[in-house]
Amino acid sequence: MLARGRAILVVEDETLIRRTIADYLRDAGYTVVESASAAEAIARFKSLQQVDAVFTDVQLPGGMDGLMLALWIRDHHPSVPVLVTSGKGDVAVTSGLIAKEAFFAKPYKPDAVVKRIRSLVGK
Amino acid sequence: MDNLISLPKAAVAALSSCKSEKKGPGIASEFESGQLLRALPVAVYATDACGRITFYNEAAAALWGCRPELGKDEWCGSWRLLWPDGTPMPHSECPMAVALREGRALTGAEAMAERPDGKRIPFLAYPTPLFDEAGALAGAVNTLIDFASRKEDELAAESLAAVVESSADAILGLDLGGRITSWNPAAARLYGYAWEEIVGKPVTVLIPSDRQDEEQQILDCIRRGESVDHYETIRRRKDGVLVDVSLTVSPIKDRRGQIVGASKTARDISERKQAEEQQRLLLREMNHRIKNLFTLASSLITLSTRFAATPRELAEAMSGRLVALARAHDLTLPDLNGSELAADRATTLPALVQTLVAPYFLHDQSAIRMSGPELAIKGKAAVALAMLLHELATNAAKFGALSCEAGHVDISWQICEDELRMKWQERGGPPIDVEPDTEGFGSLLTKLAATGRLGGKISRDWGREGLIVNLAMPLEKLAE
Repeated sequence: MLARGRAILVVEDETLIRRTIADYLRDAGYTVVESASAAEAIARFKSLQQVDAVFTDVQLPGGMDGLMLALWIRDHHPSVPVLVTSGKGDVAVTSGLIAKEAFFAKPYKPDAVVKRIRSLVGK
Repeated sequence: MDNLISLPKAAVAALSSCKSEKKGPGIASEFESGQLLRALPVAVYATDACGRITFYNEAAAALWGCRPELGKDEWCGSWRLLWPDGTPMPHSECPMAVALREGRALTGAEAMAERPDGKRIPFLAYPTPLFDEAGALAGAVNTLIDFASRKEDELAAESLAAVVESSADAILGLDLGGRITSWNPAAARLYGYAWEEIVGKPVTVLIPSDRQDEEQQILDCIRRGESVDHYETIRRRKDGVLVDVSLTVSPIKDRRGQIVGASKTARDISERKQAEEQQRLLLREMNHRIKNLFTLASSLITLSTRFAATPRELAEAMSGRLVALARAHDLTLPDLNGSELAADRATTLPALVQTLVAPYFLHDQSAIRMSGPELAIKGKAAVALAMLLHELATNAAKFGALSCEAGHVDISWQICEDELRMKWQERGGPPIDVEPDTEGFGSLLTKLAATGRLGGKISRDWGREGLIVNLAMPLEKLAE
């Protein structure tokens, strides 16, 4: 059975990058919701019935970055896994906010992200 | 040659008066023979009442650099005499002459002897007139203290003091207990304490509380006779502000070689530290940008691949897009010499349009017409607009106005309230009879750029005269 219906929220302000990972996830059978900022993500998050996983960049426009978004999700939706990507090293990991296996350093391989999401939420 | 011809009897008598107080045998005869005076390491000579030199010892001859003729030369055995300021002093006005003339002793009269070789020896003279039993002037004895070496020491000390005073580095002296014993003006400037406020205080007043143990370690090194070179640390000014310093600490030894304290030189390295930090931030930011750029390039390749019919088409399209990306980054790279190292440098819309579109008009600059006000555009917005302009120009060169010699493009923009409105209008190209397929990646890219990062709207009008593209973008997005 295809997993279309598993909803993945992709948060990335760079349109082409967001589009690329979104396409990969869609090709893998997921429903993808795209957001360009943390505020937009939270709004989308609230409006959706179900979000199964989140893939977010750390650096986002506005007052809330990807790590703050991850903390918000941990507080409000603790069962939703959050994967994080950044070009600024692995501060998120060394600070203990994000598990090593949930971090993808830029430039990342979209296949690896899809594989990780599949391991977390299934197909 | 025996230079003791005749000590004045009064002098001998005076010197021999010690005889009864001395226990050793032969003391009086030593005085009488002048052996003792001759052996003294201090310059001593005597004259008769007329000032004729009757005795001098070897130390006096060494000081003068010559040997006077006994019984003939007068007042002083030096070749030439000078006043302390270097002007010539007649022998008849030398301290010995004054003592004899005035019948009184002089104490520490300063003069300078010039030797035949020209070397000048500053000395202090202690001439004492001697009287016989009847009270008549019998002669005089003079002791000369060579203080050339002391003078040199004084000059060296003065010179060193001047160096310390004028040094740009803070220099302070410490005793072995860590108390400040000296403090130069640069130290006052660096730490904010005046000399009278700080001398006598423990040096720990300059050390932040979390670094107090450093001083003990430094003093331990000093007690072992070791120096501390270029130790970079933080010190606290009087106003509480912390300052980055490089310390060099060396032991101070007395004449016997005993360590009696330490000299500490502190150089303010705040500016260097700030520059290093700025450089570190810049490198981190550049690293971040490069990774983002690679991620963006990777996305471009991935998305382009989906639309390219052949590898050649993919290569050509990607090559142009990467060049556009590079040009946009060139325009918005941070100023490496400025203070905003990690910040985006804003470019302007005319500069961006010119840079991205001009390469398509190399053979006819009149084919591009730009009109519109200056408008600053920052980092990611500039990149998005660059990609959009690149796609429009590429499309025009392949299929539109720029594919024939008569074609031209008008690019105009205006600001309407909080929105930038931009128009791309092609004219003179091949007539458009059928609206082209707009499902290519170029079209997708322009749409993604316009509606995504730029948060705007894009519309295309395929008129028979040529393509017209209208863009509307919120100004706030261009400044992000």
